[in-house]
Amino acid sequence: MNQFFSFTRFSLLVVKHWADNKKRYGLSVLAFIGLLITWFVFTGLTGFDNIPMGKAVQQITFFFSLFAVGTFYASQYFADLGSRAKGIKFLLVPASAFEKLLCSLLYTVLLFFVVFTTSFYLVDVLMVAIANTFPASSAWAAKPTVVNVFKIIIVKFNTDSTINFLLFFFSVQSAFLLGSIYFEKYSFIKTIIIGFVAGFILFCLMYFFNELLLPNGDYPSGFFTTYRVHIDGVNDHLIQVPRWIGEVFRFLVMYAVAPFLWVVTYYRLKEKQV
Amino acid sequence: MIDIQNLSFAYKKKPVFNGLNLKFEAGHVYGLLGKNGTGKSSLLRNIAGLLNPQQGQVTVNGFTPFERLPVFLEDVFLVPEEFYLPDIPVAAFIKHYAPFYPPFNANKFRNYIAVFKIPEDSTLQNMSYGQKKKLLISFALATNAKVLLMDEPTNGLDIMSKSQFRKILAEALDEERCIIISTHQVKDLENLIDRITIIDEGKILFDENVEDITKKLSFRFAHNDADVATALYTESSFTGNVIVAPNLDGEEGKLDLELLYKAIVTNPDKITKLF
Repeated sequence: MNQFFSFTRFSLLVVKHWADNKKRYGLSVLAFIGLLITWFVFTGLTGFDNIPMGKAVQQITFFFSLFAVGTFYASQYFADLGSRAKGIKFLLVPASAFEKLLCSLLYTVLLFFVVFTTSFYLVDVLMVAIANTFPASSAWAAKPTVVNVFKIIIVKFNTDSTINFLLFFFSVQSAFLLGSIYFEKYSFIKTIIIGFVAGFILFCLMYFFNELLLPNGDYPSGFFTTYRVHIDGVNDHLIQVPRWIGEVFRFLVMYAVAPFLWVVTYYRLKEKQV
Repeated sequence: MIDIQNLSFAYKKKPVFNGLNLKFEAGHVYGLLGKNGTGKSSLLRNIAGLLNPQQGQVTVNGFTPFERLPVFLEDVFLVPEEFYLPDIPVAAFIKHYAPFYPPFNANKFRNYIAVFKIPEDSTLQNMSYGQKKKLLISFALATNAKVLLMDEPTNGLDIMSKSQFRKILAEALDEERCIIISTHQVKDLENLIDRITIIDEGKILFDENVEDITKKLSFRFAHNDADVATALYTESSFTGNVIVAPNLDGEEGKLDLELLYKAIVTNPDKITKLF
């Protein structure tokens, strides 16, 4: 049998993970649904967003809870490796590191997203229906309807903004998955701190690059691809990087961060010692 | 079966092994003895592939343990001192864990847990530490793994369970299997172990077959003062002096592991000269 990947072993691992955790996962989903209902009731009672179950409430709730719950779950996946007893059990299960990583991705990325979105819409549809049973007040802008969160423009990278935002989410989630294997304790908190520190360092580098290295100017169209050097408004210079560089940069940021972090997680898992 | 050559291993600033050489063969039960912190558990974890040697080589069944290939992991089972079992029924545990070990024998498993008096329909969550340990030992033996590593297996077992453990382990040993037991509870395993390996300060202090030990050493009460004077190790008790002395008549006697261990730790040179 192939020692890197075997579908039989992978299936066994997936089923075993479910058997070990189904009670915890079931309770977690119920707790999430409960919290979501409480939150929607709370925003309705406090008059947030003009009407109960308004568009903004649904959007913000979906994306905020996706990030909060998704990153927290990812940061717990390899938490067993922080305990000697659980770590020994995990590492000595006869499956390859690749199969173990793939199982983690199946649960934290794919199944989590499906279960999260399903749970969200179950509650959302229910709460919108309940909100519609109340007589409309004159202060209400419109009747609440179920919002398709995947059609909302949140961050404008390009026209597929929601897809981009979800890709950004998967990149952040991958960082938390890696954090769960890197840090033996408090991986969620430590990953957040590392993320902020890394973000701050990046900001400082960009600031240094823009303010001290580049001449006075701005980016008239597209970050990093076109730079206008201010002279007197008439004789300004336009510096343009070849289009493909911008495309490659955008591709890497969007699609390569998560797979790169998964590769790092794989090697980290392979070299893990207990 | 297990070949350790020039193994060096350290935890950050604390060296554990420095150039350790050792071999373990199939068909034997090895007793790994030593003081606390001498590296017994670390050695087992190096063999199981949980730790990566800094220098030297560990080979188990022809594999490098730290690569943790599934085919290697199927044939090596570690019963650690600190262990974790999921909160699921025993039947579910077998259903989901046994398929990872193709030679797993469910009948043997049922037989072992019956000897240990563990009800098959119970849930792991409701079990005591000792019951969980017995279940893990039963599972380990039923996997038919060629290399079985046990770290303090009798810790937490009651008196009856300890004798049941000895019975089961004696049954489970065959010519293809190598069992290594690290323990402080030497009395629990006295009649089971057929080779003693004592580690001290990360080095092998003593590594001999029980047969050779009992041929060359005798463990008995001192008959007179001359016995005490010539003994390799003496210990006073209420009923007289117990000694470890050279076995001059060459007849095999009974091994007292605890006395042997004390004798070797306190007087290693004199003892090892006899072998």
